[in-house]
Amino acid sequence: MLNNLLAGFTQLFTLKTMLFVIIGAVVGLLAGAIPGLNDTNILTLFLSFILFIDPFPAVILMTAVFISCQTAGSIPAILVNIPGTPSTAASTLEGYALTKQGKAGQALGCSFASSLMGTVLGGIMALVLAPIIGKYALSFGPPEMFMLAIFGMTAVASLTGNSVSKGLLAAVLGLLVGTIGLDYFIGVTRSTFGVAELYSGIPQIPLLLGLFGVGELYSLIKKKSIGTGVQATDAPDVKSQMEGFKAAFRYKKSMLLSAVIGFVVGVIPGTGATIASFTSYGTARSISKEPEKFGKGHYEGLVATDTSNNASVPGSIVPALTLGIPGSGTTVLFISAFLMHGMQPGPSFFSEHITEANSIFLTVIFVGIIATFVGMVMAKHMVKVVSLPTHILAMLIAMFCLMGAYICRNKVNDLFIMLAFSILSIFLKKFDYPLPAFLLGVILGPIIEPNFFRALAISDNNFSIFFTRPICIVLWIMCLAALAMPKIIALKAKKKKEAESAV
Amino acid sequence: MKKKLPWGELVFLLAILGYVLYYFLSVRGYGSRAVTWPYVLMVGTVLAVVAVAVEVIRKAPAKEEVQTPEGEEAPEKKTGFKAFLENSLSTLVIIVSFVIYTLLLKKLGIHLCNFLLSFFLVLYISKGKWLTALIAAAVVTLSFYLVFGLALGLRLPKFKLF
Repeated sequence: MLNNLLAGFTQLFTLKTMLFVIIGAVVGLLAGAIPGLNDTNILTLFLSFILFIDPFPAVILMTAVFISCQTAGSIPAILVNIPGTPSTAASTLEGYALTKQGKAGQALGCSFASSLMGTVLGGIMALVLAPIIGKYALSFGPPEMFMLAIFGMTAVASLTGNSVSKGLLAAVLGLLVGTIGLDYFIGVTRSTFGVAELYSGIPQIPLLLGLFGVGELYSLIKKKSIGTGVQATDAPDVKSQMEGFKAAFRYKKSMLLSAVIGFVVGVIPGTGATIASFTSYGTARSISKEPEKFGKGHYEGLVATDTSNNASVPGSIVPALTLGIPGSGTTVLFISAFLMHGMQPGPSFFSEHITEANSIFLTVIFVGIIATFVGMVMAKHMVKVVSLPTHILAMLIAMFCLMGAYICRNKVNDLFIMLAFSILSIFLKKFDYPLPAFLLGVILGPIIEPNFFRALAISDNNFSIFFTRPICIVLWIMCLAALAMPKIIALKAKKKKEAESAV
Repeated sequence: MKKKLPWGELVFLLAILGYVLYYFLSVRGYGSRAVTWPYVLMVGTVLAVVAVAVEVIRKAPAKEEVQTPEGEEAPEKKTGFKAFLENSLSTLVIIVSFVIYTLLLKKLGIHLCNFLLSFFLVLYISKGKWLTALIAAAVVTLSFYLVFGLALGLRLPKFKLF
């Protein structure tokens, strides 16, 4: 293991790769600080450019953007009460309360320290656990891989939206759209509308840019300015941030527990950083010696949310690399980046690319450190980024989407494909269908179908193979649990509300 | 009490069924290996559409009866296609501008198209700040030319109207 780790270090610490790490960290910090843009949007815009970069630096660049986006998302949450990324919504609870007390710098320092520890602890857990999961996953055959993908989709479909049936419809529609193009066995065309660009399947970059780039643009142009109506506080200096930085380490127990919660929640498909941060906040409050201070600007709450939020990121990368099952919409982009470069994340990834996998987790840790210190220095200027005018931001997104969709294959029809998916995203969003579930279906579709047929070939076309193998049975149970989870959570919440109103 | 049915969502669900029908017709008659999995998914989609339709109809709110005092006229409430158009105008403008960009790309070349679209977008969204639009469009066009045309050396569509 140590040898692999050293090899990962050697591969990461080259001049070229480090340059990508620094670029990714700075871009991620700036993008994460803009409310309305999230890690998924930014990584989508990046996807079209990484085609021109070697596979390894490309993935390192995306990892750097992903991590630093999470760190920076807390900045507008703390300063102006608007989360930079959806997962930093919990940071507003304590962070903005501290800002209102005139402790913006201290709150930012505390947030940076927590983000740093969350990323570092999450990265270490990933480095230790991922190879173990990867080794175990090698024993998975086609039926297990098929069921694993079905479980990932079920979990994302039922846990990311407000309605299980809408989530399932989005997922199964995504799977159906994922079968467009030449079929895997006979080579006949399926549902291509006579468009030659669709023969090789739905092109991923126009799809992603349509769903997350142009789709976001439509909602953005309706807002005059993202930061309108809120006053940015005085720019925080490094000295006050250092006070908060030190204060965070007074709550080591909450920090450690939140890192573990964040990592574990991150590993579960469909959950992600938002659930992780709210879960940790609740847990920290229940174990705190001063629970009455929560909600009024307490460092411990901020430590819990920001540590957990950042620890969930390496957690979500683990199933994407080891099992080929992305835990969130953002990690789907990771899988896309690998696929574009001819690498297939999944059980064999750790045996074939152990050095690269270790380098990715080392990048997580390294970017966590860079983003913290660069963020502390840049925080003063980020207040300006928060209030970037909508007309400039929207125009930039539009131009990057159009250029990105065109340059990936130099085909004009790809722009129409992007536009078609952007229109679909309007309706999916309007009627509250989870976009990640649809996207996961399209991306996993071409992986699921071959495994489905291989499993049937092994069993001589006997469908019982999906119900009799032990791992398949466990995965069926997990699918049912994922489907039942929203109902159980709703029932619990209802009971709690009833109990509270009775008192 | 009568329910206010979410017609928009029901039409969306019908459109999904329409797509499934198109898919079915496009693969009808193919060998079973090519269509087994899509058939499973088509059945799954139809079942999910039915489940969602039942859910949205069941959860549809009751129709509100607007009561106005005698002698006063009820305030005009914008509904239907007109309201939809007003709410979606900016989205429609963006979509149309993207379509025009795409159609003109091969004729005008990518850089001129980039300039015109970025100028139009800033002008439209900022509601008439033409100087900002001009500067922003020039900066973006020049940056894209430097990055994509010169640094990355990509073969991009050039102006060939004449």
